[in-house]
Amino acid sequence: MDLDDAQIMQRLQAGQFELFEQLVRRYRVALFRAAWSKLGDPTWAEDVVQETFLAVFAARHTFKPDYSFRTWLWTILLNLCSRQWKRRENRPREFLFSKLNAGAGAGPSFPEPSHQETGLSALLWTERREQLLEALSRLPEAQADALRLRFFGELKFSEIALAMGSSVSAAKVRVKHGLQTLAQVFRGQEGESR
Amino acid sequence: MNCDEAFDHMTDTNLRHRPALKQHVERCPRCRQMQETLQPALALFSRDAEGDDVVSSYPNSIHTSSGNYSNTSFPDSVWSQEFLSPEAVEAAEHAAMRLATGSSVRSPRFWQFSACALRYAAVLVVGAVIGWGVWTPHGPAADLPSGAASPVAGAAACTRNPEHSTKASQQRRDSKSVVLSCVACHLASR
Repeated sequence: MDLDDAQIMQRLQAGQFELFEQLVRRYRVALFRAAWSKLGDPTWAEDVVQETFLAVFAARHTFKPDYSFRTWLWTILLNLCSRQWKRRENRPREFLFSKLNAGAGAGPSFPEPSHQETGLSALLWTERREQLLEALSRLPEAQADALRLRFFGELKFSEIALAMGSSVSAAKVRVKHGLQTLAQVFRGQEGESR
Repeated sequence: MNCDEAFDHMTDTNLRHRPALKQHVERCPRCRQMQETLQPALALFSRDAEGDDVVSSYPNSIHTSSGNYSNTSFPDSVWSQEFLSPEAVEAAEHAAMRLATGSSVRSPRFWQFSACALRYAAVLVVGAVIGWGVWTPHGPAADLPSGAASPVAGAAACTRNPEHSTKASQQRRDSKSVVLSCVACHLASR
């Protein structure tokens, strides 16, 4: 039977460290996606995600079931992403999605799919992902973070507010304005392509 | 369902196809307009979420700068905290504390801004009070010799006239005696 996050954390605090892998499996992809979109570099993103999970493990004794685990997890990720960005702010924020499978040393790469149909879907998905992440990078950071938490993290607005230190209404406004801007960008791109 | 709930559903990939949302949008022109406006962005996030199935079909390995390892486990060197900074642990502990108290809904920047604004406001108020104290006309009190107490509100006007104050200023004054005389005068006038 799958345990919920609070139950896993409770057992983790009691010493059942092997359960931590469930949390990693549950959140790793979403965290990586958000970190990559925020930092623009998949290697940095992977480092930040690693550090986030390590920090959660090291600070496991501070977790309280009064708030949701994922709110805590995403709050830590946002903080560490900001820290990582400040550390390397001399580098331009450029997306390296196009360097996927470009060769050794290009950063994280996904192995080539063996099935042709899966490969086509993957290519389409990659293209759309690149488009989305590039659009997110153009938004004001608060709006982009709110969108990442809402859509990548699937957090409720109350959780987004807690993670970002804002009010619930501010969180909703950020998501709404972010979506409006993204929609305008995509409409503009569709108009150009016709 | 109200419009606020409708927005919640619209932006939730698990709830956006609920019949309740569809019914609300059919009835509410404002939400219908908003859904149409946001649709391109919402669709992109929705398709992105579907792509996770594609990702999960890949072998469970990621090649990174820190080495090759499965996407669900970390090598022992990671657990020896080679990749963990004290700042990261501090960030985690601070986040836990903040969430537990639930008090600081506002960001640290908000409190810093508030403290700064309060300081400026305090300086303005103090400056205004000082300015009011300096520039407010005192009437007979303006003729009081230096060192004299301010007249008590409602008390009779000080009997010391400018001539006296001028004479007083020419003499070597005992400040204590001046104060005592003013106090005695004003107390007597009560």
